[in-house]
Amino acid sequence: MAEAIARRTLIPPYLLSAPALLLYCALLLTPMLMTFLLSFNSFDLYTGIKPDYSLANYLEVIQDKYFHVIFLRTFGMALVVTLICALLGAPEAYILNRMANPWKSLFLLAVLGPLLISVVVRTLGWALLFGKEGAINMTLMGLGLVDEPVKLIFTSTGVVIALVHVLVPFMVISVWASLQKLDPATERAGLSLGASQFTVLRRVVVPQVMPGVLSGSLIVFALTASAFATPAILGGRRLKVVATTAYDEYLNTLNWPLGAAIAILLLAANVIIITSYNRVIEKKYAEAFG
Amino acid sequence: MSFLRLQGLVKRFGDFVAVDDVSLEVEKGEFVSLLGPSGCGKTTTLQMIAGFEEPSEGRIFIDGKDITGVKASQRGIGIVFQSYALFPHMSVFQNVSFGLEMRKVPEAERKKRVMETLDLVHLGDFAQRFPRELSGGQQQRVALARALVIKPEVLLLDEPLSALDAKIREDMQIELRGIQRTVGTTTILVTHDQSEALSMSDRVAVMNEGRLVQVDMPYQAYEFPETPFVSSFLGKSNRFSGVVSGQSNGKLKVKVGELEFEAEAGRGPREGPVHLSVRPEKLLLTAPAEGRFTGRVHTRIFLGNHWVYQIDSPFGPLLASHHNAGIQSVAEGEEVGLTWAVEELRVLAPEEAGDG
Amino acid sequence: MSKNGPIALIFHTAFIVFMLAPLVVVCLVAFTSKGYISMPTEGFSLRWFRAILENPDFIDAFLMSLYLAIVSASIALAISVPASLAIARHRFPGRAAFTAFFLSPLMIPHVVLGVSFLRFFTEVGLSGTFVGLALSHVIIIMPYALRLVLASVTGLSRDAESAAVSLGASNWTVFRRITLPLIVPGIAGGWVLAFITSFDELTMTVFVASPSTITLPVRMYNHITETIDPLIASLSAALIFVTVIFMVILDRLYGLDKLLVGRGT
Repeated sequence: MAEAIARRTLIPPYLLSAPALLLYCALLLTPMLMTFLLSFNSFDLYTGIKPDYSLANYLEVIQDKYFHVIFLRTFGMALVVTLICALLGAPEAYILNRMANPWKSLFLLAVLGPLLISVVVRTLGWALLFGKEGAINMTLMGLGLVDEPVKLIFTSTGVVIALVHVLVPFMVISVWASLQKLDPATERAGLSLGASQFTVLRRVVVPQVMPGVLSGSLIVFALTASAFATPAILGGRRLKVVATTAYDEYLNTLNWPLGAAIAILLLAANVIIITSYNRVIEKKYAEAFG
Repeated sequence: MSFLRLQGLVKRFGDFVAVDDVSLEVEKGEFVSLLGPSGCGKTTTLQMIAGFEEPSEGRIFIDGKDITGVKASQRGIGIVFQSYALFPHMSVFQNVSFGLEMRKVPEAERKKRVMETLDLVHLGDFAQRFPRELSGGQQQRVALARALVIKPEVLLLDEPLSALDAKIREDMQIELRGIQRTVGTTTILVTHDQSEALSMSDRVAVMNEGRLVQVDMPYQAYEFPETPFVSSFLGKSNRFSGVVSGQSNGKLKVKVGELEFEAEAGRGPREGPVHLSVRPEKLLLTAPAEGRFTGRVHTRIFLGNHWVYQIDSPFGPLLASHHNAGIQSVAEGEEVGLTWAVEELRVLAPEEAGDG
Repeated sequence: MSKNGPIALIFHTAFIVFMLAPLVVVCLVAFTSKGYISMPTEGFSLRWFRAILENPDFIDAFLMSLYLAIVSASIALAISVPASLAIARHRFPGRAAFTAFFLSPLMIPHVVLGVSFLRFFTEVGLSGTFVGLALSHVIIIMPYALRLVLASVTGLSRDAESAAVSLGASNWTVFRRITLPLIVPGIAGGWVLAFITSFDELTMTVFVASPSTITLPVRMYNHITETIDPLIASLSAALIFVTVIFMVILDRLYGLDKLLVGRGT
């Protein structure tokens, strides 16, 4: 049988992956490389991009307070959004998993479904809710909790709320996936050994779904750090994040080299955070979960 | 006074009655198996003893105390789950130690008891391993140690051997029985495997469709099944239907087709239509003229320590199994006589009146 | 045992309200009869849905997005299937690197991909063309397609193929009659996920789309940055309706959780 299979592998793997490889080299590697080179060029308002090479763009970003604020805001928001997503998404996944059908599949659909709806549409919903006469302010004032409308649009609170909404499904699904691997009998085993419901949750369930929470956090963090539409629509001109700043440099100021440097820094930060995080997690969970 | 007492347990799920009026008394230190096909209610019964399901009716007593309403975590019952349900993120030591931590046993004593129990299941050297690094049989022992270390009043085993290979399963049956004897914990085993139930338990409780059909010592249940269900579920049996045609000094005469057989009047019915049952190993092959009737060997299978014959007979196909005594056996196609010792023929109630 | 307590149910209710509130608000505002953003307090009106039809640039953008998503999802799948077969069925030097390379667009922020494509297309003269747009979308959606196809090829037992070979089938016949039918669910799932990802893509497309190749998300984004009116709400509501129908079908066919598990980084 093994021989039969060996004889079948006539088309070599390199030939099979050639189309993908060619496409990626032409359309991923080349553009990325060009952008990397572009980030070292200089820019002049009147003559445009000059093909000289220096670290000037990077130095500008690293030294300018303006960019510090933007980078700090972006990664600070990413951290907050990730934390909130973990605190909301993980319990929700657990609750969903304990439900009986049809409720289980219905609510899972309600939680995951928004992922398929355009981010523009979802952000628009929050813009409508956040308005002075939007549903949130009407409710708060109607309940007498506040006297005047709370300002949510164009604030980082508003952006964070909307980003949590956009990204929490990723956390739910990640925890959900690890809950599917959890043997429900381990919870019963915990109970039969004398643990309370809370202790079972803390000592038996949480440690087993932690890998799901951590990988969900990684996804949420990376996507928040590079989010564009939501901060652009709800943050407005002043509440800039890295992605919207790069956009402005490219399409408004037309300073492509500086925009490229910002983009490269964002990419580098993302890659560094993702890989180091992965390494830490792998080390921690290699033993028990391999 | 029995130690574990189930009194009229009923469990309904909507209109479905999963467990129907089950009463059972188990002595202290006894090993009782709940045996039955899947869906017979044995697992639900176990869940009710464990406290994971609430009975719709009936009560459960341990040592005279009513524990029907007590939370699972307060019952002090040790459970070995079918999937073992080891905590994958904890080492073997931590798994076994968990129950003692919950009981706030001081660390020094905890350590001592964990190691003692691990030694009992021959896993003393594996304390620092994680479950996924162990074989199925080893995981099974960890699960057993984890359940035993809390010195449970009752030990529940939920199909504990079903995930193991046939060879390891036999070894574990012997070992499990040995450990149970050593620690003397009252034990309930749930299984669908008749050989497991027969080999390990002091008594078997056969369940079918939510009801207890027969509770007996393994030998008794096998040799004297009370219903056709038990006779076919515990081992194999050849059955004929007949009608009681007369009685004389404690023996029944049963007419089956043209023939009439004598049988001991046992616990079964003494008149009307009946089932006759004879075990394959009790169905003897003779020369054609010497049998009660004749048949022809259709198929012969060699199984190492014994032969199995499928025989065409006037009453349909029959099974006979004989020890491999080292002599040439009857060949396929040969005509044989069939007979049995009078006391090996059982008279049972016909199917309709049985455990339907 | 698996019942949720009252606190859990309150939490759950709040969570579901949070998830659905923005979508519900969009749908309600879409039915307003007023000329500005407001709740349809004085009866439901379809005037803003009719208004969509009077705006051909939205219709054009919608058709462009549809066309783009179909083309790029199909290309992505055509490339993913052989690549998946290579990765799942062969052990060759560079296999792990290939896999990581093919999945790498997931790690790259879309804004970075956007600026890179913009620069590249300007340099090679594809700027503002449909070809450029479609190829850039293929790169973005490839990882999603690849992962689902790869999963279905990996999960495929080779016994059926070996059986076909033993019965005298040629390589090509084995692929066509055995392998392909067995991985069709993976291919279909991958295509759908790729389609949706392409259809919804904004951040990268914003850089690459020209007035003649503008997609619906970009068109809507541009509209929102200028003004938020009931027209954009009705358009969004229409999109939500279509997506929900689509979603229910997908859920019936595959289970939404299985399809989406691989969606993030």
